[in-house]
Amino acid sequence: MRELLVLACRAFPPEHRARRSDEVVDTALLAADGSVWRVVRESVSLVLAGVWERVRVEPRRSLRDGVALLAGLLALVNLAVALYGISFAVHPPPPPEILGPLGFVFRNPYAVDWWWIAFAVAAAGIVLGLVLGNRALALGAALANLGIVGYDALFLAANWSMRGHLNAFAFLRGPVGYPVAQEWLAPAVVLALATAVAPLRRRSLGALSLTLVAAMLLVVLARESPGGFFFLRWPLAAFIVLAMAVGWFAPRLAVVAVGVSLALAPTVFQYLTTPSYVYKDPVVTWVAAPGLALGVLLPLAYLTRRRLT
Amino acid sequence: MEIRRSTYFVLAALLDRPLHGYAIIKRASELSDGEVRLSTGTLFGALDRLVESGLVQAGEEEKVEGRVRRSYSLTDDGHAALAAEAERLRRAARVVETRAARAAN
Repeated sequence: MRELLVLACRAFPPEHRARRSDEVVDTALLAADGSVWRVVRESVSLVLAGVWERVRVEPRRSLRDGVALLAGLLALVNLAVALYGISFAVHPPPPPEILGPLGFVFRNPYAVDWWWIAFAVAAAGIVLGLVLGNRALALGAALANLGIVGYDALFLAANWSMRGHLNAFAFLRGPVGYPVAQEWLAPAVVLALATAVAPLRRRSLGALSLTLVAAMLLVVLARESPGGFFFLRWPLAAFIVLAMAVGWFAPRLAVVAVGVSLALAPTVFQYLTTPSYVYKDPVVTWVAAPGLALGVLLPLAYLTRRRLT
Repeated sequence: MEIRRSTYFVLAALLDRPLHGYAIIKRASELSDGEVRLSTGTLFGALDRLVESGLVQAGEEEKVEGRVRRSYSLTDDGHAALAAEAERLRRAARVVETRAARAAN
């Protein structure tokens, strides 16, 4: 019963005494007087009070808190993309006749390339650094992540003659892996900047587990969607609209909206400049550019007004 | 400033002496003849607002019989706000009582 009340208290903001002391849980246990039904009732009341408290303190959050939220969000998606690439987006395996060191036939189930391995390590390093509150690790990994993605975007995706990654287990075959698209460079830049500026604090290992579960969920959803991670465009668009609506009182959301909009800008630009013979959703065509511009300008206006008043 | 009914009874519970959370819940229920049954979420939401607006003061945390608790007491502003609310309610009740008495005569 106590565990349920402790869980319910997680609805409160991290700095609230419901999270930092046993006072609220002990009071709820006394009020429940040993009845399971009353414990459930008390838990529901604590969740509602916690959510309301979060809404109440939201206007007092700093802009840097918003940057921390942005870094966490982008690090999560970045990790999901890396896990997706290393687990599902592999290209066909090399031929089975490659000989192993003892002359046995070496059968590889997968052909994983070095680039995806490095990307996954860097992405995991960013998440670990953010959860541990370790700036050196988080920022170092974010810069490595930027370098890895930048190498792909600038030297491989832009240069068709040199296209391809080196395989980890099929080095004799030369570069065959496909680079990720150039659009991923912008989120990597925003992620590195956000990691450099965000206030970091050590979080529980539970936060790390939750992040991994969320990343795996994104991977599964991306695998089930025809366009991979393009399914994220709708939740992200909804998020930007939400931030435009409530950013005046929730500065953290306004900061995240600006960051996400900047990260998405190259993708939208590429979509809009795709040759006209390729089918494009007319709604997206007409809404994406102004929506993205508003996604940057309106939250920026909120933040500017907040700084001035 | 109008005070919500549950908040009114939280303040009223603290009139006599400082109380901790569970004691406030019980006292508020007694004072309202069982009409106000504060849940823990409602109580601490109200206490947060009252402490922030300076009507209630929170004491130091202490451990009694293995349970953590903290006493809350009314400040001078809290006494004044409660008295003002009681007077507002009294005036509002008087309006109805006066008219009801006239109607009966």
